[in-house]
Order: sequence, then C-alpha cells, then structure tokens
Amino acid sequence: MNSSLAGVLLVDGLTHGAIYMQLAVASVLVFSVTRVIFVAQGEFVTFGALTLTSLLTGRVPGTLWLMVTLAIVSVLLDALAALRRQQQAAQVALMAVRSLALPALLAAVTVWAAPRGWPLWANTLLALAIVTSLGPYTYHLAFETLAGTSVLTLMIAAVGVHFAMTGLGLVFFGAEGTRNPAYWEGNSTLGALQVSNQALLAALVSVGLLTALWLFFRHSLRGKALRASAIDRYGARLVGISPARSGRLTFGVAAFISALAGVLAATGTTMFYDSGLLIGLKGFVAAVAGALLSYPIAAAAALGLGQIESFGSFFASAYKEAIVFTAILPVLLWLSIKHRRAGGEA
Amino acid sequence: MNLDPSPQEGAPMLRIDGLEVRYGKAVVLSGLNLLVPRGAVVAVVGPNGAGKSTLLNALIGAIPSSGDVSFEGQRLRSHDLEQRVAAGIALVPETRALFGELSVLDNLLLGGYRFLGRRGKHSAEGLARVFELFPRLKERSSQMAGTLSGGERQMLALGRALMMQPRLLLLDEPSIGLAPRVTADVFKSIARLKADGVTIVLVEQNARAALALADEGHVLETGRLVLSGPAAELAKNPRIIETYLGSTVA
Amino acid sequence: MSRFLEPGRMAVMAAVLALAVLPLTPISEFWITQLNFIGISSLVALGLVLLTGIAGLTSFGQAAFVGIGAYATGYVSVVQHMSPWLGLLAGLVVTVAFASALGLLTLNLSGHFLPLGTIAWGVSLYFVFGNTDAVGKYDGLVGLPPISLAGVPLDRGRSFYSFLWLVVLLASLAISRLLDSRPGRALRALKDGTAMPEAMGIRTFHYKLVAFLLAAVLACVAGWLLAHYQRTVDPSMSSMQASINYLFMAVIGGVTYIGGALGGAALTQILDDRLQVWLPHLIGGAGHYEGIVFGLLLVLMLQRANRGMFGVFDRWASRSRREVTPQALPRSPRAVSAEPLLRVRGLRKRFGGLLAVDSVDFDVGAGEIVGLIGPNGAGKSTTFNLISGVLPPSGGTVTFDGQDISGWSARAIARAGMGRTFQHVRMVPEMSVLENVALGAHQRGRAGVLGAVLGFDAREERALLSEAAAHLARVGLTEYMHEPAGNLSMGSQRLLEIARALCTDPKILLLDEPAAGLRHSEKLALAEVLRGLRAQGMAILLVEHDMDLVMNVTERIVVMEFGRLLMSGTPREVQASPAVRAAYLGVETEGVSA
Repeated sequence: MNSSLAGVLLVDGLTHGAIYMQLAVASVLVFSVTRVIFVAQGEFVTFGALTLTSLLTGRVPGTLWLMVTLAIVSVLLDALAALRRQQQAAQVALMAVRSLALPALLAAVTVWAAPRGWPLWANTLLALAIVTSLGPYTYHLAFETLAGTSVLTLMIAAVGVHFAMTGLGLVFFGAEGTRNPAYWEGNSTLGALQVSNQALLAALVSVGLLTALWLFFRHSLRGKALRASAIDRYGARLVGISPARSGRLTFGVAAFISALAGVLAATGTTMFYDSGLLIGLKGFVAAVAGALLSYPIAAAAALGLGQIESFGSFFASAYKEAIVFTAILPVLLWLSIKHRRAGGEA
Repeated sequence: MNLDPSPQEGAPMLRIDGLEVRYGKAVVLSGLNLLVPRGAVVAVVGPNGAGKSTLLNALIGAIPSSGDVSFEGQRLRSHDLEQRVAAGIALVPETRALFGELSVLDNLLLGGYRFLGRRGKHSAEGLARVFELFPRLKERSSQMAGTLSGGERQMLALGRALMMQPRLLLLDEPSIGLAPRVTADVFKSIARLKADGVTIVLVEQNARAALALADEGHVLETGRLVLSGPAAELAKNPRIIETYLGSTVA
Repeated sequence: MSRFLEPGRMAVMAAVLALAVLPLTPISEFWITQLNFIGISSLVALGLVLLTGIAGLTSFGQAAFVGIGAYATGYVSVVQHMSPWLGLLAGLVVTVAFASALGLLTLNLSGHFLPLGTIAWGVSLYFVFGNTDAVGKYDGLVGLPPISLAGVPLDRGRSFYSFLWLVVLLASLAISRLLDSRPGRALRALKDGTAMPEAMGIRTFHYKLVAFLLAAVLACVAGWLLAHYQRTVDPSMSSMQASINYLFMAVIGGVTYIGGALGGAALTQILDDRLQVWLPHLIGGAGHYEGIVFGLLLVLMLQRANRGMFGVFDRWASRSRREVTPQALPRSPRAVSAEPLLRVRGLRKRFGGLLAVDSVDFDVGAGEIVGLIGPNGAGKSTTFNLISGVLPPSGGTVTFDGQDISGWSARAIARAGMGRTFQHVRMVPEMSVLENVALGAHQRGRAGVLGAVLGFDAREERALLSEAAAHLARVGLTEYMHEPAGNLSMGSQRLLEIARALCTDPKILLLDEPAAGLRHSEKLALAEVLRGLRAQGMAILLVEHDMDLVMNVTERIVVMEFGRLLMSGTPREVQASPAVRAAYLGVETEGVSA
C-alpha cells in the first residue's frame, strides 16, 4: 500500500461515499418526517439511471407510464376524499384537472422528445422529472393511509413497495445492466491525486445538493414547515400544516435526491434493475449511525462507509459487501449501550 | 374548506349539542350541551380527570366524537382536524406542541402558514401585534423555542395561535405547570385578547383565575356539566369546592 | 377431554388428519413437492409468528438462519462426508451462537433498530456464503445425501413428506404448548412494552432472547430439511428476498396465529407457483414478476386486512379454557413490624433544570390506605414512578420493609413485594383474564421453555392458575375468568390489574389512578375491593384524581403541589384546608377581572 494507491482508494471511496451520503440524507429525511424506514429508496436510484438509459436509446421509459398510472389513481383517490367531505363537484373536478396537468405535460414532452435524440443534459432533466414525480404518488398510495400505524408496519409496507418496484424495474428495463455516458470526460489532477472529472462532478453535485437542501430547510418557510412536521406532528397539524402534504413533499425530495444519485452513479458503475437494494441499504446503514435522526452523523457515516468499502474491496474484494454490512454491528452496539444508559424502554 | 364564508346572523359562534366522547370502553364525556356567544370568554373548569382536555380535543377534531357541533351555524364533521383548522379554530394544547428546535420567530411565522401565498402583509401585521402583546417574545425572537421558560413557552404558544388569525381560540389549561406570578401574567394577556374581541373557550383547573376572567362559566365533573352560569356568580358558588375536593366526608 | 371436542380444535384435527393420509392417496407428485416446500417454509414462518406476532420483534433476516442450517449440514455431509444428523447438530450449534450474539447486540434497541440490524447481517451472511471457496461460492454445494431414518433413506417425495410434516406438527404443538405456559405468558406480555412485565418481576430481555433463539432454531431446522430435500445448497436460500418471502407468509397468514404460519406458507407457495406461470404470459418476457404482485398484496393487506387470513377465522377459534384445580402456592412470610412498611424520606427528582419532586416525606403502614393527591403537574406520577422503580431518584431514600430500595430497578422492587397497577391499563387483550392475572404470579414459578414444552410444568401450572383464580375471586371477577381480557369493561380491567398485582404476593399495592374512566357503580365496587384488602392487612398507596373515592376510602391523604409536600392529614382535614383549596381551585389573580 503506497500513497498513490491509497490516494486512488481514497478518491474511489469518496466517490461512492458521496452517493451513499445522498441516500443516507434521504433516508433520514423520510424517516424523520414520515417515520417510514423506506427500504425502497434504492429503487429510485436505479429508476433514475435506467430511465435515462431508455431515453438515451430513444425509447419511452416504462417509468413514465408508471408515473402516469399512479398519478391518475392518486388524483382519483383525492377527488373521492374531497367529495366525501361534501366539497362541490365542480371544484373537485377543477382540482383534479389541475393536478393532472403536470404529469400529462411531462408525458407529452417525453413521448415527443424520446425518439428525437435530445442532448444528454436535457434527457437527464427529463429522467429526473419522471422519477421525482413518482415520490409523492408512492407516499400517497402506499403510506398515507398507514400514517398512524407503528414504525414496523410502515417498514413492512416499504418492503412491499420495494418488491413491487424491483419487479416493475425488471419489466421496464429488462435484466441487462447499463452504463450511461459521462457528463464530463477526462481527468484532473488535484494536488497529488488523480481524479476523474466525472467523480469531481459527482462530488460537486453532492455538495450543491446538500447546500440546496440546507438552504431549503433553514431559510424557506416550506422547508421549516417540513421540519415542524418532523419535530411535532400534532403542533404542525394545529397550525394547518397537512401531514399528508408534508409526506408527499418529503418523498418527492427523497426521490429527487435518489434519482440524481442514480444518474451520477450510472456513469461509473453498471446498473441493473436490482442494484437498488444494496445501494439503498448502504445508505440506511449510514443513517442508522445517526439513529435515523441526525443528518451530519449520517453524512459522515456514509463517507466512512465509502472508505470501508473501498479499502475493504482492495484487501478482501470478495467479502467487501459482507464487511460493509457487518460494519453496522459495532454501530448498533454503541447505540444500544447509549440507550441503556439513558434508561429508556424498548 | 366547505364552510359558507358568510356566517348566519345572530348564530352563536359555537353550538354543542349532546357531545359524547368514548375512549375505548370508557365514556369520557356524555350529553354535553354548550353555547359560546361571539366575542365571549367561556371558562370550563373542573377537577382533574373531569374531561376538560378531552372536550377541547373533540372540539378541534383531534379525537372522534358523536353529537352535533356547529361553528358559525355550519355543522362540523367529527374527527376532522384539518377542516376545523381551516374554518378558523385554533387550539393551544396542554403540551403547547411547540417546535422546540426552531426559533421563536419561526414558530410564530409557521402559525401564519395557512396564509402562505398571500404573502407578506398578513404576516407582518400579525407578527407586530403578537410582539406588542408579548414583548418578551420579541426580545427572544431568534432563540430556540425549546430553551424558553415555562411562561415564555405559554406565551409563544398563544402567539403562534394568534398568528392563525383564529375566529375561535381554544386554550387548554394555560396555567398548568406555571408559578402563580407567571399565571397572573398569562391571564393578563388573555384578558387583552378578550378586549380585542377574540372569542375564547378556556379550559382550566384553576377555577378562580379562569372565572375571574370569563363571561360565562361551566363546571365539568366526570364527563358531565354539573354547573353553569355567569362567571361572577359561579365563582361564589360553594358547590364548586365539592366538585374539586369531593363531597364532605361523613 | 371435552376441550378436544370444540369446533376450532376439531377443524384443526381434521386438517392434520387429511395432511397425514395425503401421501397414501394417488395425488400427483407435483402436489407432494409443493406440500414439502410449504412444510419447510411453514417452519420458518412459525418462528416469525412467535417472534413478530407474539413477542412483537421483527426480523428481516430469518433466511440467514435457514442458510446457516443448510450450509452447516452441506459442509458436514458433502465436504466432510459425515452423517446429515451431525450436520443438524453443527447447524444448531452455530445458529444458537450467532443468534445469541446478534440478540445481545440488537434486542435492547427500540423497535426499529432490530429489523435494520437483521437486514444488515442477513445481507452480510449472504455475501459470506457466496464468496467462500469451501462452500462453493455462488454455485453452492451439490450432491447432499438424503436424511436417513433408521437406515431408511428419505429420498422420495412421499417418504420425506411424512418426516417433514411430523416435524412441523411437533413444532406447532410445541409452540402451542409453550404459549399456554408460564414462559409463554411472559412472551405474550412483551408486545405491549417492557414496563408491565418488568413490574411483574419478568426479565424481559431474557424472554426476548428466548423468542429470538427459538425463531432462529426453527429456521435452522428448516434449512437442514431444505438442504437434504433439494440435495443442494446455495446462497439464494439466505438472501434478503427469501427473508422477505418468509415474512410475507407470516403476515398474509396472520402473524399472530400458529395456523397463520401454515396457511400463509401454503398460500404464498401456491400463489408464487401460479404467478410464475401466468405473469410471463401476461407481460411477455421470461423474468420473475411475482414480486410485483406480492409487493402490492402486502401493502394492500396492511392497509385493509392487517390481521391476515386467520384474522378472519378468529371468530370461530376456540377460546382457551384452562382448568383450575385448587392448589396452594407458597407465600413469602410476613414479618409483623411496628415500623411503617413504606418510608419515603427527602425524595427528590430533577429533570434537567426542573425539580419535579422536592424533598417529599411520607409513610405507609400495613392495613392502611394512603392517598396521594395534588393538582396537575404536582409531581404525583413522578413520585409514584420513583417509588416503584421506573425512574431513579436524584436524592432521598425509599425504605421498604426495612430495606433501602432507592434506585432499585422496577423488577427488583416487584420481587421485594411491591405490586402495582398502571394509569393506562396494560394487559394482553387476546389472553384470557385468568392468564393475564397469572402473569402476576410469574416470579413465583420456575418453569422454563423446555419444561413447558415437555409438560414437566403441569404441577406448577396448576398452582399458578389456582392462585390467579383465587385473586380473581377476591376482586369479584370469577365469572369472567375465561373471557379474553380485551372484552372486559374498563372497570373490570382495572380490577383485573389489581388481581394481577395481588398475584405477585405483595406486601404493598401501589395503584395508579384506578378510578380513571370508571362509571359510578364501578367506582363503588372498586372502593369495596380496596376496603376488603385493607381489612386483610394489605398496605395501599393510591394516586388518584377522583376525590369522592379518595375521601371515602383513605385514612390519610398526602397532598403535593409543585413537587413539594403541601400537607398531610385525614380526608376531613384536607378538605377543609385553605392551602389545599387554593392549590386546587387557584387564587384570585390580581388585576384580572371580567
């Protein structure tokens, strides 16, 4: 192990760590607002990557139709609920049409644009838009009615969603793996380290994303409203912050973060329809370090996890995944000691 | 929101008919009839376990209930908190439900969340009014809500509720956990709200302070209203002592 | 004997009989194979019913234990060429070791960390299996010998079937027996949290570990059977996919029912099989799309039918009617002493900057009912929790029966002779009233899991149940003895809690707001019970808001305000005291008027 090798491993670890960090942050966000341990987070990653691949090959991605279907069902259910509240039918119909406008527009643009070979960045935006839209509908259809139930029930539901999404991934994208073209070719030298420009871009995007999130949560009232939902759900409801809307927005943000991670990761790693599980779980392992509640600890743990994976794969490449997941055990041990000292009840 | 924006003339602000609340097997409130006139302060007092908080929880729609509740002449759906908040009913719960990790200012601004979109003006006016009522909050506006003292938290909770520009304000035991002097301050603030014309339903264990402030009073004992009347008269009624401390031991 | 003729039990026996004779019929080999896989899966699902449905813990990693069982026997029988029975032994040893270690690590954590932990090591083990040369990496091992029973190799579907379903039957019977026993009651009490079982003297961590180990052992045995049925071993047996499959079986069948494990396994297996045939026709392509259906089904079930298939049949399920034959249970000796039984001196509790309890002193003697009252926020509940060991004091002492118990755990205090009830009734709604009350007698018995399953606990069970019945009689609930506790009215549930506390053979009873939510007639009944207990020499400390009850039943009342002792005296003195009136009704606040 000389310094240049260590350097390569370090950069490699940081590149992967950046992806895990995004997922860890998304996991903490989702859990703190909705109490859902969303094990299907990784599916948004693969959907992001593979939707882009479809677009790049000129095909309309299956995820678009999934999004449209979910949108229709979701709007229908909302309309029914409004009617049961005795709202006027005309008003309800208007709301429904307005809610369907954006998905319809997105569908139209995608169908028109897919065979036209748009530039990479445009297709990326389209892919991100499609997958991000899936988030709120997923929350509405799978979790909203379960909002008052235990964390365990929500988690089992998340497992169900994971199953369904993985299966759908196979239907939409087939069993082959894909790799997307890089956004920024070539390498740069940073001091003593050689980094691929793609890795640099991924790092910059991660930082940018986290900054944007930070700004959103610290300085916009909507962001603070989401935090309020997480801090005191009852208090939030009392001032008119709807937990349903908070949940949907949260899932939308989380889906965006994941899809972005997927789109970036697919330039360096081959993505399969079932790659999502492991990526998502690694994000969770990192988030657990922060007891699913602390962003900085989750982010730091994710970066650490990237390093463990990177160096682990060098020393014992076959067992690299086993090592990464076993790493959760000392974390759990530490958490359980802390928990016992606080005298809490299970 | 399905409420007719123009309330019926002469209707009491709140009309409760035969309200009943069950918690599992137990009947917590039964056969409650209550009228809250516009602009009045109505106090509901009684010993612990009488069901006072349950009454407010049912009024805000946090728990299911049976019976009729009409607000400004329109019937309200049971267990629909969102509808009642949208109709202009604000509750300051016993636990205050503040956002501890956010600043005082943020807590207040979130109180005005319903009006997000019609930006700016409402927020600024409402905020100025709250700061005028509670100068201590202005001093501490950038402090985290979780670091405030008991009395300050109560004021913040009140202020946040006021930012909602409520038509009806429900206060759940505002004096709880507060030292007597602080309680006096809090009740002074509530008196000022009353002077501003806010309709208030005040639920309180401290019967004397509550009745001194209110127009009308009701005494709740094990889920039923046992005494009602103008507050000043009720305050002098010896029966109240019995409901609090039990009938005289033989 | 009449127990066996109830409709629910008859149905079960009929089903068992049908399963038993099936291989003798000319049913196709396809169905024998299906039933074999169903049988193996149901063992894992059974463990999940115990772990998740009964004890309230969730594992997404049960397939890992299946893998351990399979790989252990694979290694022993293929690589080492030894008997499959030795493979079973090896698997059990490794499983118990692993499960103990993992349980020690994760069972202390709050609810959602356990499943995450199980996911992590489940995935981890999958990769270990898949990357280890000695066990064939991702190809696994092939050519495992069949199990031999008395020299006869079980290498045909039908012969294996008989052995397998015998094992499943025995496992089901064992679990069923377990649940109807002293350790079983402790397991069933875990779901609602640890506060109540700990107050009954139950070591909750021990029982969580027991549930976890039993589930792991069942999965290990399933893995052993699977390995010698398929005659191959590969990492997919222990994948997360497999773990989720097993959980799905338990949930769809009804995670709280033993029958649910079998029903869920059957339904899942058949559905999976059919979907593998139909879906590719529907969708085109040749992949595995069953996950979509299962995932959607799972979510829909949780939203609409979360008690699973067997939840539907619950109405017809036979109620457990345990026989009660009078049998004495030894009681601990009561030393008659002049000293007060409970002595609280200078008790303090600080929460951060807040002094919730400030130098509180009082005594409670035998044959006395003392009331602890005060306005909201006075610190009564905190004081109660300090005395009963739920919270550690920041200062002061609590002396009980001559011993300084300050800072002792709730469990130790319960064992020292303090019985308590809870502000919100905590019991197991599905268990009968008798069984719930018998939970209180847990620490007076000794039967463990093995003893319970093998029936060595019969004598002790009779004594425990007889004790429970006696205390039920004391509080007047005998007629409800065999009812599910959840069906009782609030008043009766409160009396149940008192009977349960009495079962701990206490020297003092601590009652936390026993009158809350009671109707007038129920409060009168409660007062009668309390007076009766006092007449028998019980000491009682009563925290209560209902003044009528307190004033009529207590000898002495201790009044708290703002964490401090306001006054102590007879009910009359307290009612007449201006200080108490001011504390409750408040004082006129200056400068405020209508």
